[in-house]
Amino acid sequence: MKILLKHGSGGLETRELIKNIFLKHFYNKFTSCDDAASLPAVGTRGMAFTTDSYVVKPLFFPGGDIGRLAVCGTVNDLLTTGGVPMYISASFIIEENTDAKILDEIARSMRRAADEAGVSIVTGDTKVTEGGGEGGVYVTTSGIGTDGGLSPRLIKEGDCIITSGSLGNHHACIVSQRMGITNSIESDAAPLTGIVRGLTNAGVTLRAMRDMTRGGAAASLNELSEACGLKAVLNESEIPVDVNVAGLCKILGLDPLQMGNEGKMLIIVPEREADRALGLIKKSPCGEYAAVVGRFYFGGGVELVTRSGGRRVVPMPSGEGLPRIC
Amino acid sequence: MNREALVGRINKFAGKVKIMEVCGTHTAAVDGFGLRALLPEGVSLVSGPGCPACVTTAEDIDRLVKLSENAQVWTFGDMVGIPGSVSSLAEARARGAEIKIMYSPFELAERAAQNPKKNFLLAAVGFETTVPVYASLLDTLVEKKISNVKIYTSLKTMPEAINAAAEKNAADAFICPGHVCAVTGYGFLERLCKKHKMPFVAAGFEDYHILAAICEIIRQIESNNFCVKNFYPSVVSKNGNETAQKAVDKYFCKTDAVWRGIGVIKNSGYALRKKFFEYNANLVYGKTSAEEKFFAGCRCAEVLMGGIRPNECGLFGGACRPECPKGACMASGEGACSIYYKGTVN
Repeated sequence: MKILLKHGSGGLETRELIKNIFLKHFYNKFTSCDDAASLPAVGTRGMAFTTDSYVVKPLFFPGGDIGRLAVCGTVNDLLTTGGVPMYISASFIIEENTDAKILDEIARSMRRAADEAGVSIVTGDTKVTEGGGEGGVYVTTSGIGTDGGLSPRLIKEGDCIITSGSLGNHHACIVSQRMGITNSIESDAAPLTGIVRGLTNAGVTLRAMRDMTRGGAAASLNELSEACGLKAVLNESEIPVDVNVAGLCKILGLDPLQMGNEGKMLIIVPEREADRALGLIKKSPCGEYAAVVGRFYFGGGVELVTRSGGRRVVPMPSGEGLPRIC
Repeated sequence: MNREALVGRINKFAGKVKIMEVCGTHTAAVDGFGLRALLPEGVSLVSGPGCPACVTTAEDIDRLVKLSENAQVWTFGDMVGIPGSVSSLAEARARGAEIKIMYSPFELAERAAQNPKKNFLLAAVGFETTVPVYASLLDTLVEKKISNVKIYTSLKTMPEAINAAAEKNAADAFICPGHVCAVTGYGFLERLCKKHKMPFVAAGFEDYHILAAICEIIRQIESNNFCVKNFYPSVVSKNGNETAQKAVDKYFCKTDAVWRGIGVIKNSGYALRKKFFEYNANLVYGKTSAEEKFFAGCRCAEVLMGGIRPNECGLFGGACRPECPKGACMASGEGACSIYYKGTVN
């Protein structure tokens, strides 16, 4: 079945689409077909709330798809406060002529990711637009959870910077797909609930976390540095980058520090907690390659001590991040 | 010698030397590895004319913007931000022109074959490294009889540009572009060395390649005995890639070219051969003008020939930044100004 404009009209066809695809996959005890989902109160803690839109092409790629991204991205954003993600909304903008089977696959993948992350998809929306005839799907997810109280303002001099895994895999995967390059690089799209829960349950003191998506570690660290008024210094030889990703970066002139990830967290901890935190993170399947990659010092901005022993500034990424001309 | 030993040897050099790294990728590597911090005061690295987008004239950009009114223009990403005299391709795109950033020109052949009624235009910019890819695309266009693609060429060749830089005393020694040499071979460096009597070292793009090249240049300066060295033997040979050279020769012939900020360099470009006129989008225009208008205060011309470092330009970091470039060297990701800016400003 192809999705037509009538499927977004709010009438019978919309209801059928919701019932046969979205409700079928998303259903749980909180799911609502009303205008709003009613959710139980959560203690007395503050709430964390976030939203993100996903426009990735291709829709399916090694290691994930737009649905998995949409759930993982919002879950990981919620996790950065150190709290517990709980409920997600899912809104779809679907271009006319999209095959319903594609939507079914995306919804199935979203449910699987939500189950991995321990969140419920409780409400959503569907719109159909005219498109170029090639079909296209855009997903917006919003999420709420408890607020864990972490903040970049808590960062102090001497604090250690941990990455939960190797950098650049998602970006490298999507670039490879778009360029038709055959390799074994997979997206790292994953919810990092296990890693964060492991740290908070063990009572590790955490300062701040950042989900290293668009702009990669470079953007996340520049933001943290600006917020805490300290200088982040990275040690290039400690930064984990998969050998295949590193090879692709060399060929295309990309910098793993500036490449987007979809399942990698930057975790700032006091020096005394670094070893314990690293040990706990490495216990998670998503944290195997976690490493302490740097520290915060007096000053501002982000600096890299290179493998060659040189130093350079790691700027906030700008522009379109394109493969170079030669 | 390992990295530490190379750095140690370089730091024993007591004299002064100005070395031009010709290629934009070398400038990016020098910055990426943080090598400047490892060099003694007497060893200065200056950037050269080896960023293809940076040496594309404003007139070329103006023509591409004009051509985009009647065709979908395909180009590499570095080109979209380069300022024309009126607008960049990115600004034309924002006004509604169809400008596609390509990853590979072969995507264009595929798209053109699928849309035979639509006009496509390839903005063919680059050096010896990129021209064989355009030749290969032409093979596909000819073989598959794809007739709705035209090619606007602004192609340049390195040997003549390096010669021009040496003639202008832009530097005391040259680190030469490894990938260009992989195609052309390093034979041309021997002619340049004989003529100018200074060190010419072909190098790769790893930190130890560049450090080894600097070390060799210092050794030659100290001994006052100059020669060509190939420090990238894994891909560079004396004669180069003859398959690529033949492919280029089939479709392109040498011509004079105008380099942004530098002017006409004789015999330093490629044009489509006459028999492939049906693909040639340059034919509607005359020769590009050697007269150029720059944004007031822009010193890209001097940056491209090692005359000044980017931060010596009055616009650098103020009116001219990567997000609002006034000159080509700030607009391209491999332009010296943009690399310096990102490496020094936070």
